[in-house]
Amino acid sequence: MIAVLGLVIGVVVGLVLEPTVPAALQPYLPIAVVAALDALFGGLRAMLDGIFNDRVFVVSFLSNVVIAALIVFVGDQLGVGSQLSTAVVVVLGIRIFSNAAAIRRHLFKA
Amino acid sequence: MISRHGPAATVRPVDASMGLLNEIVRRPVEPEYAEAAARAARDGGPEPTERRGGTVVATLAVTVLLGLGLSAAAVTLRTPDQSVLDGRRLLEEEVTSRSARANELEEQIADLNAEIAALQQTALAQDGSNILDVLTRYQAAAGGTVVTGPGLLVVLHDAPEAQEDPDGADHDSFVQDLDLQILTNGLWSAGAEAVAINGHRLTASSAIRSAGQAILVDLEPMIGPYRVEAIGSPADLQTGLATSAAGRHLALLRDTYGIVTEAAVRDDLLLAAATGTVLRHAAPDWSGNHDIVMPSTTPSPSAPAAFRLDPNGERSAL
Repeated sequence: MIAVLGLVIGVVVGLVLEPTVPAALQPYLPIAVVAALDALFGGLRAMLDGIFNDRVFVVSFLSNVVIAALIVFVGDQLGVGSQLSTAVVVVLGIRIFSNAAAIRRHLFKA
Repeated sequence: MISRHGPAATVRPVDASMGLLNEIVRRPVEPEYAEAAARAARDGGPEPTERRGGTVVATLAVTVLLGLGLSAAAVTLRTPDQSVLDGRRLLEEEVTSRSARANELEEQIADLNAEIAALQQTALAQDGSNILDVLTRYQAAAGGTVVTGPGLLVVLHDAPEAQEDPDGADHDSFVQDLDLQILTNGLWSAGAEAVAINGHRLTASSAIRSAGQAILVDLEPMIGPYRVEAIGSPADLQTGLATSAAGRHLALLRDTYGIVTEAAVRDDLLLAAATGTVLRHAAPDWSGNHDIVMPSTTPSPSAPAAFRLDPNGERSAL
């Protein structure tokens, strides 16, 4: 719960301050946002399942973002950047959909 | 793809090749959540409070930073790149202002040319020699003065299928530079004194070329229909055109490619002066006599009543 609180505070501060992202990181922003979304949905589902854990949430969030950005970066260096980012987005998208379906089942019992 | 069997535990043997898909679809939640929950249940009881304080601060700090990064990324991705928009607007403004300036300068050039012609008139008329006559005759032949008189108007239209579907029509159904070249050469040989295409006066050094689908006359692009005006004896021009190779070429265009040609006699054609004449060589003449010996020219009996318009708008014979 502390983790979620901290996340919300961070988002609000970010919207208020509007910091500029350094130009070197800008190509990896989309994939980082999708990876963060995946970790968020996983945490939400875990919360509804009753097995939420702060440490696991933070570690999963961080590792998702870093690994996704790293994969895209390595792909760019090798020349398969767009294909690798497509693969990452496909996998994350499937996971997001599965988590969202489970959350939906929890919320609406449907 | 949505798991209908609940969380990871399934009694069916999982095919080895399906490992990846199963991993993705059936275990989207980090298994660490379940493991941590199982460990907490095993260990029993709440966690020791003295360790909780430090963990709370660390968790809070890390998640605040993560939230900050997330919203920064989202905000950056949403706004279009301001520098690109600014650059484009700057270019648009510059294009419009430069075009306006170019038009201004062109008008200035036209005014200065008229002024020079008027000054030339008055200076040479006072000289008393035949320079002015020679100059006006040469200028009329070279296309440097406005000329008016009777003549022939020939209009060339692209073929109807080219007009309806410019992109898909055959290249041959458009009027091409070769057609205009043959037509103007035919008009010159039939006795035209001045020829203009779409208002652009042709000189002895005019070029008619194609660039893609546009025809360039002296670097000025033109599109159809092409109005070719020729000042001369209308009867001579008509018969000359009809019997020459140019006339046969126009008939070929009409029969084979559907390019329509209309020819009409006009009594009062007005052709503008050529704007592309360039002064290439000038030398002062300090001798007292400025008379120029003209090569003998016999006026042709069917000389048309072509006049020269001077800058004041008065007609004078060539």
